[in-house]
Amino acid sequence: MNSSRTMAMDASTDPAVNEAVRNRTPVWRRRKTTYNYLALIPFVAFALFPLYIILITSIKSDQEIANLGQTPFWATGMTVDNYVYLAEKTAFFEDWLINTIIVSVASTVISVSIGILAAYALARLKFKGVEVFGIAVFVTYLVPQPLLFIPLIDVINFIDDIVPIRDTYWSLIITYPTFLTPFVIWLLLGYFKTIPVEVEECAYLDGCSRLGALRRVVLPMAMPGIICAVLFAFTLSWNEFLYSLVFIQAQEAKTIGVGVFTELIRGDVYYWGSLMAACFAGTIPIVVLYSFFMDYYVSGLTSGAIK
Amino acid sequence: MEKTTSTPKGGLLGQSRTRREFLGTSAKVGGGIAAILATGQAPAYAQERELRMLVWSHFVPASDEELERQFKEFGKQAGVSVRMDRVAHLQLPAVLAGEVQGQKGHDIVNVSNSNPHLYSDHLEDISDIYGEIGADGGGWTAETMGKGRKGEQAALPWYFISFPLVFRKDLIAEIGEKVPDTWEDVHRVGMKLKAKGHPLGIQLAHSADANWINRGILWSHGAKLVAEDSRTVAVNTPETVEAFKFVRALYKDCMEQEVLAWDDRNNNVCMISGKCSMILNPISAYRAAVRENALIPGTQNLIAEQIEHVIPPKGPAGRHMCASFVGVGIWKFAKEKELAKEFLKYHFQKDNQNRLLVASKGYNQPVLAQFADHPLYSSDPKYAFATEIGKYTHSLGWPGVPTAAAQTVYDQYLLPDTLAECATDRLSPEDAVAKLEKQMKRVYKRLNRKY
Repeated sequence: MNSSRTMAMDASTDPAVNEAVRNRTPVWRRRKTTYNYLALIPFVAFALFPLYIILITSIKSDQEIANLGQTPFWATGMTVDNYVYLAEKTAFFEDWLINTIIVSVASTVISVSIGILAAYALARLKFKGVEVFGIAVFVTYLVPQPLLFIPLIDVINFIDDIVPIRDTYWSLIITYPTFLTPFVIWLLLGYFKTIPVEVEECAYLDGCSRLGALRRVVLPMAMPGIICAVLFAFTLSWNEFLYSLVFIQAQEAKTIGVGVFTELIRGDVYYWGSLMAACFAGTIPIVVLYSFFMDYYVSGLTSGAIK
Repeated sequence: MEKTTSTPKGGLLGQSRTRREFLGTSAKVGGGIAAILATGQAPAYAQERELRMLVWSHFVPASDEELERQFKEFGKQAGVSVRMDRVAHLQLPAVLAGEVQGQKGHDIVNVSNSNPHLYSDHLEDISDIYGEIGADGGGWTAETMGKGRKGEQAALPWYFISFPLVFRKDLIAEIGEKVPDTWEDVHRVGMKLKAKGHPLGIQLAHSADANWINRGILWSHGAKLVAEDSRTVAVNTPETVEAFKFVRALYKDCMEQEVLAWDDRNNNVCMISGKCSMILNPISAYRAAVRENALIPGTQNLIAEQIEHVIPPKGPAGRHMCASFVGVGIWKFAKEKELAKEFLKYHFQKDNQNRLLVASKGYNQPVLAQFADHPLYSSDPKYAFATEIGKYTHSLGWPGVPTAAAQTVYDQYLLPDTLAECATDRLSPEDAVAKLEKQMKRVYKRLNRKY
């Protein structure tokens, strides 16, 4: 099988073969492909336009940004000053970016780990109140953050009296799972229900325990859903603002969202160039992550929707 | 179910665990955590004396740098560590609310406008240092500021941020007009300049500027939102209706639709980009024009050179403008209350206040009489308005004091919203004022009971 796949790959990379295949592709199919791509252009342009404006604004000088007489769609005098300002005058690369990565990775790992076990239990185990638990998880997910942050402050302060976690990213690593876990459970619950229980029963017959079957059989099959949950949890953590604002005021412990707000929005004075540079630099990790796992993400979203 | 804890091929992570072993391990871990909780002993490094201060990110970064320098200098002298934290001004209320809820946080906090009234129960009465500092500084010029609900001094007035009329002198000269002195002048000049593509820019939207400026317009027309007792809604008067009619005329004749969607930065952008001829704003618009070397469109001339400031226009009932009064207080739950008081006394010394005022480039307008005629303001004609504007500037809740109810009316943008409805003809001036009164009464009824 491996050799046949290698042969197929060799054939696909052979220019002569490619040329032959192209020549054999019917005109109608090539035309259809062209139309498909043409039809996609407006949607792609619409989706990428904000990112484009962010990039263009980030490489403009302050003078050019202030000048409404010039086109906003192109930079005439390109500059990296805004990125230099970000690096030299703020803690963006030094602290905020690193803090955000640590918090997002840690809270995602914790939430997805808990979420997998909880969702599996709710999807498979039969116990009293399982339906109510499922609904409760969903309702928890609906509780807005501005309501939760007040009681959570008491929790964080209580822990802080014992181990100082206020003004450190640990306060976020502890609290982010409170809104990530219900979401992950809710997402994976639907996904686990789509995996045939018979496959698991086969694993039991082969000697697997419940957890063994989960690890060896269910999780590999649920990988698209899990990656989807990881991506979502990571993005939500990355973009979170309120908890980060309330639990952390120390400059060196801030995450990107709050740090950028603190340093680059000064009352009614907005440092537009640097703000856009921060937005662009802060978007790159998410874009990279999504570009690697896009297929999983899409299939994870759709597969969980049907039984 | 039994398979969960007793498996032929190993359980979780490939290690065999009986239910009994699992429970035993859990009990040990739980016991360990309980022991830590029971001691309640913070690590030694957390027990060092530290004075902490929370302020907003100042409009002029150099002001933050100078404040931090003074704070560190004080810490060095007092032999304690200090930490100054900053948050964006729009996010400060959430952080304050969090600290009050948890009864834990910074020692010294930036509490502006109505916050001393709102957080009266949680702020230390600092009447003693208020008196001392006021006596040393030639008296306070903002005597109603920083008061708690029982009349105690819950915060020190720090500085205020005023709203002069900011205008392009070249554009006004082009149409042969003089600098507007009254609101009628603003209307007349604004009409002519709008026709030339340079509108007036006053927010009628959810922004702080809209709240400050439009209160000033109302007061200049003899209207008021609340009576002198600070508790009785007194907005529904013929003067208020006239003021609403005037704002509608300003909007239709001198402004463009975009002001209905502006936030605090948009009037700055409009002025710096060369579009707007007049706005009402602190000096930040001018400072931004200087910082960005903004040019007059189509020329190589710096726009900052054409920007001037004058005291706010006069109306039928005189010259009045609302301003943000910034204060500084000490939490009752602060760990270092005495040290915090010492710092405030140190910070309000003449030399330190002087340095802060200079660092802020005049943005921090003084509340101590000895700085009212600071040389900085006479050194630059752009700042000439600053020595006079304090006479016409009032706080939120005027002619009463800034209260929690006044702050709520402010936070809910009740005035800008009803003005916008009137300006766009969705409500008649009379109906808009009646609606504002109804909304305000609801707020005051609830909060008068509570505070």
